[in-house]
Order: sequence, then C-alpha cells, then structure tokens
Amino acid sequence: MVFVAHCLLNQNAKVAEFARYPGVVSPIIDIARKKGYVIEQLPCPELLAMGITRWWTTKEIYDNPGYRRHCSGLSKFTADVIERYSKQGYDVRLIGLDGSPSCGVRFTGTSEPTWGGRPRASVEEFKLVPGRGVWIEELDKELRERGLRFPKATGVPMDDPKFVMGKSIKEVEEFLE
Amino acid sequence: MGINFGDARSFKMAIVADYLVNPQNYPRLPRSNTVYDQLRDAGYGIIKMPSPAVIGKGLEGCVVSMVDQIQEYSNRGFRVIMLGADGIPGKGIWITNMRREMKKRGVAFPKSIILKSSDLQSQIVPSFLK
Repeated sequence: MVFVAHCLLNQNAKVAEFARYPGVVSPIIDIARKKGYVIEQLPCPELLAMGITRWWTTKEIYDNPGYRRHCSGLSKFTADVIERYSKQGYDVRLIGLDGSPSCGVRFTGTSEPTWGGRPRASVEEFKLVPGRGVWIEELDKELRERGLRFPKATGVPMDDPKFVMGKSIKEVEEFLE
Repeated sequence: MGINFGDARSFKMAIVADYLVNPQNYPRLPRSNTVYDQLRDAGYGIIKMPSPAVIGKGLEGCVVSMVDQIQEYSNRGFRVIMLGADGIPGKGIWITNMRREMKKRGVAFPKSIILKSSDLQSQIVPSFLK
C-alpha cells in the first residue's frame, strides 16, 4: 500500500499558482492503481494550518515550534493508520511532494534567512535543497517513537519550477515495482 | 473578490469513502473503479476518508481535520460534495462523527450521496457530479 501526499489526490489544496492539474494528479495516482496498490492520503498540514489563501513560503518559515506541534498532532492519527497497515503485513510506501517545505521527501524548499515579514521576496530566491519538509520530519519522529520504520519513500517534485512529469512517471513506476 | 489562484485547479472536490478509491479491500462488494474514474475525469480533487478498519483511535483527530477542510473550502467558494458507500464495514462511522462535529460548529453538511452497489454503473453518479 502507498501513502500519497494530499495534493496528489487534490490539487485544490495547493498554494496559489502551484496546481498543475484540476483535481487528481492522474499520471501518478493511476500508476499506483494499475499496480493494485491500496492508496491512503496524507493530510495537508499547510492547508489545515493556514488555509487555501496562504502565502508561498519556505521550510525556514515553517520551521517553528507551533507549526511543528501542528504537524506532530496530525502525525498521531497518520501513524495510527501506518501502524495498522504494517501490523496487517502490508509493504507500506510513501510518495511525498519534493520541493515542498512540508511534504518534501528528497528535496525541500528553502530561502535566504532574510525572508519573512512584508511579502516582497522574489521567486528567484527560492531554492531547492536536499532534505525533508517539516511535516515529513514530524511524521518520522512519531513513527520512531512507536518503534516503527519510516516507509520506503520518494517524492514527486511538482513544486520544482523545472518539474517534468515524464521523468516522475518513470521514477514512480520503478519505485512501485 | 477572492485571490487569483492563476493555475489549473478545478475548485471542486469530493470527500469520498475508502471503498470508492480502494475497492480491492472490500471482497464482498463489486471491484469497480467507475466512481474514481468519473471523479478524476470530471476534475474533482479527492479527499479520501481512511477505511474504518484502519483508523482506530485516530478517528477523532481525522474527523476534525476533515471538517476543517470542508469549512475552509466552503467559506472560500469551492464546491465540496460527499460520496459515501452503502454496505462497507463500520457503516456510518464517518458520516455520524462528521455530522456531530459540523453541527457543533454550525457548518452546513455538504451535498452528499450514499451509493449502493447498483448505483455504481448507473447515471446517478454522473448526474450528481454535475
């Protein structure tokens, strides 16, 4: 079975300008379905904390105790579901959203330490760096506290301005082999 | 006037029962992908409720986050509908708990339908999604 980033099933949750599909990111989700995977959806911590009209932001800005506590709260019921599937003998996998400050698995979105306050930063200052987003880090922490391993995971880099779907399809095909 | 999202989103989403995305988990019910395919092709975003069999004690937190989403999207003018399924284990657990939470907040319950097996191949779903 595979857990997918919330927005791979619901592009309406994306921050403005980042929805590349009307609803379901079908080229990715349909791979999992064709291969017979059970699909579970992760919650979107950004939407749940800041709503649909939130500003673009970065890991540095989300990396604060309050947002981490919010993610940690969501990780409790998410870990319950992961734990149940693991106990039932499922091979649990996870597809995050690379480039996301919250849901990045291989890459996350970062910025200069000067970002914050009055919205005036330029998009060119947004950088993708290796690392996980805050939500994925908090989920990992909750699973470790329960003695569970973080699922085998990858990410679809839809928050990367240079994103190419063809490359991701290939990666996800291989990941779900 | 709201913000300009400037992207491909549909502003439509459906809260759906686990069975409609993962029919392979329900051996007593038809293994039909029809409703998922229709939602996808109509451009609906999907918010899937976890299966009652795996949610366990996480139910309460999950219900709160579901209702938060319904409230936020509805307040911003997005279309939110709900599709449940008849005959799945734990019948009614999501709907009952969500109704309770929404009543507490004074939030209107979304337009919803509970599908029977015989509805899956009918015109009921396409008309409901319009």
